[in-house]
Amino acid sequence: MKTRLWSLVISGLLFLMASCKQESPQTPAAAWPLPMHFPPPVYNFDQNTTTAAGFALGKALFYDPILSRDSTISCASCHLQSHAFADVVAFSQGVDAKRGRRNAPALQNLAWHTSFNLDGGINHLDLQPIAPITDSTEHGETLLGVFEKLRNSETYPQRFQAAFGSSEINDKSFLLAISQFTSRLISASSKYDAVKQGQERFNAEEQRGYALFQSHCASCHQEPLFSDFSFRNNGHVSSTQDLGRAAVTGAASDEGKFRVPSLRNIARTAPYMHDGGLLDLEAVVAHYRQPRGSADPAIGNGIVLSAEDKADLIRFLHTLTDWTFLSDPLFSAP
Amino acid sequence: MKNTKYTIILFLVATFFSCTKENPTPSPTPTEPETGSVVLKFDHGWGSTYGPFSIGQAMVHPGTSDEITFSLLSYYISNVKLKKADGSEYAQPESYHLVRLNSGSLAEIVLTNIPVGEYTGITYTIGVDSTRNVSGVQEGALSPSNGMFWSWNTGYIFVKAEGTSPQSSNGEFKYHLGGFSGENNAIRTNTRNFGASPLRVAKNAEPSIHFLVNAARFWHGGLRIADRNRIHMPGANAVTMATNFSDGFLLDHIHN
Repeated sequence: MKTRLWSLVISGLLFLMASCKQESPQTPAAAWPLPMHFPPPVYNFDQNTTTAAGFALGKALFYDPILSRDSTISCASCHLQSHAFADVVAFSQGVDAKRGRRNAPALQNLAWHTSFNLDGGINHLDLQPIAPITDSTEHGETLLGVFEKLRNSETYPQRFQAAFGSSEINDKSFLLAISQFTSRLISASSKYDAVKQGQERFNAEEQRGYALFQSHCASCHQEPLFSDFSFRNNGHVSSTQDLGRAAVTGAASDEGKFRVPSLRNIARTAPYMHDGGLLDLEAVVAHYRQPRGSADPAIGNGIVLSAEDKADLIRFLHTLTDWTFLSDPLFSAP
Repeated sequence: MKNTKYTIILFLVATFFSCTKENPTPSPTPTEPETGSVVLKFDHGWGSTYGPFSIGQAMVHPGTSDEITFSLLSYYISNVKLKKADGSEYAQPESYHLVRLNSGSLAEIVLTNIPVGEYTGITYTIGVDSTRNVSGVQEGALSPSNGMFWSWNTGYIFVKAEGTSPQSSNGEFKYHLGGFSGENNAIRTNTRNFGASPLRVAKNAEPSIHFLVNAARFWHGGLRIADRNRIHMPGANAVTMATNFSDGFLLDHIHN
């Protein structure tokens, strides 16, 4: 509910800005509000102020297949709004019908992330798009190739001009524009949020599920973002040869570790785990009964739940679905 | 009537102020200190004698006898500081330069806006400071699209050396050296003194500092290509090789 209001406020501001001719489109969108019950963001909005023109440009780029080598794949090809910008398949398909190596993660509340990619190899939101754009199994393109196409397009130079006061398209203007969109993919209006803000109440099952969540899951999936952003091995043994965090740190002790994913919109982001190997929430909860491999000590010898407990826990997880975020036209294809 | 007029004027004035962008008051031009340029020349040689070297030409390593042909050699020179005889130092702002050697043996970068005067030494970094590795997207020489940047493991490739060798298991070598934190820190800083011949920076002159760079230093200490033909991420191997490469920079002479 709050976010719907928030969307309205933003739309209103955008309208006002568009209607006042004297206002430059570079004018900050009047400090777009961040959720009151979230901690301060990690992303430095002061260094890339969200503007109406910049946000619109970032959104256009996100949805434009021009960002791939053969103009077949856009960011949105594998990051679907209706699924919290995750994909519905284990491994997304990139150019030349190639398959990726990891399950595409949800894109939400990225401004609070301390690192990007499941192994945390990328240290800044602005730099994240370079990885999928240049990966041969994703966009298979080069940055210079993208810039060239954007410069030759009929509309983009003007849009960069409107957003940044210069039609120049380079690493900085391109990546900052995408961040103006991705940093605003904020999910903070699920039933859980409404309960936390005193606007709604959990039913009895959800309440029991919440208590189970707090005692068994919350140490890693910390509220309110539902992740502590650390790297852990959750005991999911995969058929894919994936070193996880060790691939970027080179440390053997990091093998099989991945960033703790947020549980927000979890009911909408199946399949689960870094390899998309678990198909539904029942399978995920069952997995924690008997984690294998070098599972994180926080899981101990497994999480033992009765059938009723499992059902309640899953009911609670469904309260993290943010239907406003999943359908907000602010984030939909332009 | 008078009141109405007054109101209209007030309204117009208010409108004017609310809708016009303020013109920044022109600041008085400060007296610009006179500046000049300095060219840093990097002449790449082979072995401790800095013998003939060229991209694309097969070289025999003096230590291991491996046959090595470079296809490219690129590296960052950053945070250049010039020292004066009185101990004061001029630190070039936004001092990030990419040296690219795609052919031959000679590469150069030009430092502009250096205050005129006499300088007695130079300090420079081979690599990129940790701040610029953790501060998001950068511009100019540091643009990720320059190809000296890891997309999947954020950080700059400080030194890139690639080529071929019959001793390599796959026929090639690719050393991408970087790493900016903790024990993986491969940032190397050198200070060289000009000794008896100071560098004279003047308004209409282009003095140069000539370095000799030993391209054979990547295999210093007997490292054989057969044992390591690829480094693609920060770590102990990158640190060792970055140190070896950095130690192969010799200040040859100043040309005023």
